Amino acid sequence: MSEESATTNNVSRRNLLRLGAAGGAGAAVVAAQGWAGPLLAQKGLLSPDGAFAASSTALGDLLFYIEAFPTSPLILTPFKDQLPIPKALAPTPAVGDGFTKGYTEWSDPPGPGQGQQSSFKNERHQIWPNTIGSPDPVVYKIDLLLRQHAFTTSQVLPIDANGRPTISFDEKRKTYPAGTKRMLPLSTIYGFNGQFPGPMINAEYGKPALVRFENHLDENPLNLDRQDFGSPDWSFLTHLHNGHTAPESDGNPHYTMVSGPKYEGYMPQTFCDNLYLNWPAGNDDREKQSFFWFHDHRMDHTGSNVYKGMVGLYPIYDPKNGMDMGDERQGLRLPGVRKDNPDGSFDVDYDIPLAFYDCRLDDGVTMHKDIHDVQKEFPAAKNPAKHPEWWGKTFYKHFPNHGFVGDIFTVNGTANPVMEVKRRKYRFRFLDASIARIYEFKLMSSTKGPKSSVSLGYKGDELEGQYRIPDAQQCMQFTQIASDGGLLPFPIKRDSFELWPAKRREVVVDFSRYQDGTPTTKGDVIYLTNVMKMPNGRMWSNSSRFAPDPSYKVPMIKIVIGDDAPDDSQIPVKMRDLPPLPGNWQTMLDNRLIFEVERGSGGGETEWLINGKPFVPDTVATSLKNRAGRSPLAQQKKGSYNLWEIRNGGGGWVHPFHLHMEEHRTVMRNGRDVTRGGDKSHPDDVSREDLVALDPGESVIIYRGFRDFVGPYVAHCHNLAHEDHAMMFGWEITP
Amino acid sequence: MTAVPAGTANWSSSGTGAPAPARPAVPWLTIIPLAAMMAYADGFWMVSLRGAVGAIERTQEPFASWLRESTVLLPAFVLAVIAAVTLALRWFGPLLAGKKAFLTTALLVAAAGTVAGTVILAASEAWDYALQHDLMGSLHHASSVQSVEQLDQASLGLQLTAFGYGVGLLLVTNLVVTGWTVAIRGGRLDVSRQQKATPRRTPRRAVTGRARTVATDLRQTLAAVALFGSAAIHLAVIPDHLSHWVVASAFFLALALAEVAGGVLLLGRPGLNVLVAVAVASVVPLVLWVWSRTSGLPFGPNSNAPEPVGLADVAACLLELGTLVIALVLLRARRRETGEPERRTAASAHLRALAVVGAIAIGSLGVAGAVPGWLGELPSSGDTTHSVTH
Repeated sequence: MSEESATTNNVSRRNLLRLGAAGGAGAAVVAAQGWAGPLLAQKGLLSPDGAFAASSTALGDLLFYIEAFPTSPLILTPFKDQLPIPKALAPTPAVGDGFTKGYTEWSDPPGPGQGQQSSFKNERHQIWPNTIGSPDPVVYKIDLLLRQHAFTTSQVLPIDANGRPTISFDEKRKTYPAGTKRMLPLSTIYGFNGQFPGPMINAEYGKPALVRFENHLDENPLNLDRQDFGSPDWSFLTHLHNGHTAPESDGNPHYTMVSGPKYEGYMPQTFCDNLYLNWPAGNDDREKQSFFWFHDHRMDHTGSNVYKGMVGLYPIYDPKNGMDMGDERQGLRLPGVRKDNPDGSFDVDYDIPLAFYDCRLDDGVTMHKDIHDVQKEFPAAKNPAKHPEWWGKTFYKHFPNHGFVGDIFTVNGTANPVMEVKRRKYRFRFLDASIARIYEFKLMSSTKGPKSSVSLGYKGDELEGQYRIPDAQQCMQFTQIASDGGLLPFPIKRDSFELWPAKRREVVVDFSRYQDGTPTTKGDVIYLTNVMKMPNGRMWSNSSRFAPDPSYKVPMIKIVIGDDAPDDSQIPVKMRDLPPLPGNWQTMLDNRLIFEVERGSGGGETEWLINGKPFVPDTVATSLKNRAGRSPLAQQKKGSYNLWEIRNGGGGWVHPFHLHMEEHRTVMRNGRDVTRGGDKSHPDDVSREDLVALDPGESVIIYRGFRDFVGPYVAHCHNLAHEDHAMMFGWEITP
Repeated sequence: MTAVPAGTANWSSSGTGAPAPARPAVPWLTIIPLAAMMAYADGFWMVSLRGAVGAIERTQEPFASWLRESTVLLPAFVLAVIAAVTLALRWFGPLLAGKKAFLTTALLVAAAGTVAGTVILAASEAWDYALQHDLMGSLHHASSVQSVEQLDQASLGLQLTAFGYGVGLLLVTNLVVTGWTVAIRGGRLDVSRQQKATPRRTPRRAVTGRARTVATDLRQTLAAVALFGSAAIHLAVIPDHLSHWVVASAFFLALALAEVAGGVLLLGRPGLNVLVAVAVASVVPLVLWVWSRTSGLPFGPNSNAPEPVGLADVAACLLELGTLVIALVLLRARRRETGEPERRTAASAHLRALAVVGAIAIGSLGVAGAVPGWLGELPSSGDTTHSVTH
């Protein structure tokens, strides 16, 4: 070869290498823009920091936090079980009837005296109703009981993550071959009065309620296997979410660690009297709410206790001027026909609470293993281990690094229920009682009906929800009338709405006609459908706001149109005014308190932090440095108001951040004033709420008051896996 | 690839036909891109790993952290790549002959970058673990069954796992990055380059005379670089000391100025007085440092209280120690008025670069360690000082 040709070859080879390297880099950039860019944008991570967050998350998922979740067996005949519609709990009479004791006959009767607030006899109720001009409370008694619950009566087909039939087991570990149809065993629950959901208390403003929660979880009359979740010491702590309540009745671990039991919760054979004054903050009618729920709040085990059944309902009506008293002939004339019961309670027809809860059932071959096993909290389970004897019962993981979501969606404790409705308007009170799942609901109709996700060829996470309606189309709208904080100033027509953990939304649906005006006819079928795909507890992958997936339409309730019925209800034009914001609220911005929720890695199970700190239950947290250069304590004077900022520290997670005691109003989201019109993604910003919905990277500034009570409270993420692993802080109101 | 037939790998027989140079020089155009690519690529994984398992205090603003830390640690990667090419130079000569030499050199470069990255990763993970340990110590879930020891164990296990995966990630990344960088340079992977031609002279005299000059230059240059590095670190700690002890700030300023002056003088023809002054400027802060870190200084706001050892002061001490040793060697040589024995090797320029870049790397780490929130102490983001406990 001549020198010249060698040189020529060298040059071409060099250029070839250069071109190859440049082309490879170019292809990587194009791929990043075309594939990773939209993916990051969908998760709110399209920023330099977001790219690192996504990379860290991917590393964590791939290398460090490998977790297996079971695939629940397929429910074979969905939409046959009736939707349970709870009836109001009867109060305990003052004097018994020979079968049950009246509350005045209890050995420790409730009352305003010192030592009468709990079995610890070391506290008293901060405000007894007579001091605010209310009558003595209506008394209820709710026992915490170890019982069982069925999510369906249908036969099931055990399937694996690929949707293929697989083996199953019974309580004696006997193996059943793949393809065997089975009935599910009953799941073990810790329930309020032993039921799931627990009882519903229909409350009224002006009529205080005192609920004695008594712990009998140590009693096991049915000789049930407790499995490996739920507070290991069987303690409980009940929080009325989000009652305007004194700390001793609030059910928060900041209080219980410094007062009362001085422990994370109330142990077996102890009781606690929670006094709910049913009295609005500041005695301001504009602060009245309409739908609470009560749930467990035991420190470090809230998620497992709630998942194990500690959920109860607490609609609250406003009889003042008949405004919202459950009688559609009075006041705002919202749907509801009230029936007063002889026992002092009342029920309201056409006014239906819907508690959504997702779960996973054990497949018998998934390893049970998390940090709580290392800590030997459940020694009988001998984890890490597989538990074929628990096949078909609820499966739980305390410390899911990806968050915990179920693949069976239930409403009022029943999977895939059916409900027949009259051709008239209904009021529905939606509650998300799930650990982490966010839902987005639509009302849809279909000609072909639901198909199992397995039959449609889906696998893995796509099986969540078990059924889809491929041809479903929206057919009705919701009229939203209330959010967490009660009735809105005016109704809002919505095609769909999101429901985050612990949030409540109330809607009116007119089943007499479709959204195009066509009348419904008897036998028509409508599906309440979830269109938000959330494969894990981190956040959604698809929703109407971010990359909708038109094929993800999971039927939650089959609604069958029935007969005509009288309907005296109306959809009002105007409802409850918002409490006014001070004209100078922007001058308070510099001195606001700032709390950033973030994923950390404290080792063990301390992974979710606020302002870089884990929850220390006997401590009041401190704000990050604000624009005034100060880091104030989370301490507010009684009767004061302030701005608090809650920031999502990123990492591709969403956080439903809940603040106890009073409702707040969002004034700024991501640096933008939303007081004159909410963010399009968060239309409820114009209402009062007790939970801040934080998309990835978002920052929200809220205005809130601190009235009527003093003492310790908490604020925390209501993704219960986050709350249980330190994403909570203590704050307090001082005299 | 800059290849010549096997067995002819020396400058005199290179295919370029150029006259044989006296010594091979450092191929900076090869070293800097390779080091930079590896520094920033490895930095990406280190910051990402930290986001997954690291201490939360260090996971804020990851993009800025990556830029800052990768830049600060760039000299360490330069050092590693120089070490690799120096070794290759010794093994294969100034020109890489054949695929084996080329591939081995490329692997050496990737391996050296990985060693640098691994050391940095280990330090980073250790720091994360220390911070997490402190955090766990602050937890007091009194009645919870979990113990700090259990959490500690879990945290340590996680960090060790992360370290194992991290090393693998760095190795693969550095192999890819080295390959890509060599490819984008048209296949060039030089272990040396020709120095500019120098006038011919009698070979032995020329070599001997040059070697002596180079040896002297190396020691003086190294000491000067170390002094400049120390000065930079001392200047960097001034703002942090201003708030609580102005006297210390003034001392560090005076010391930094003295070190800069000493460094400049060392680059010329230093006399005995200069060498003595340099030795004093090195020994005084060393003594003060040992004193302050053991029994504590008897004056100042925290008198008689030992100060904690930090990255910045350790780096400064290393540089001062090096300067002191060189100053003493030079003083001794000056007194004897004898030259150094001939130490000429084919890689002497490489060794000189190794020494100087090593000093720069230490200085760079020290400066970064002196700035709160960079590699050193972190500002408090929470309620460390005044939280209310019931």
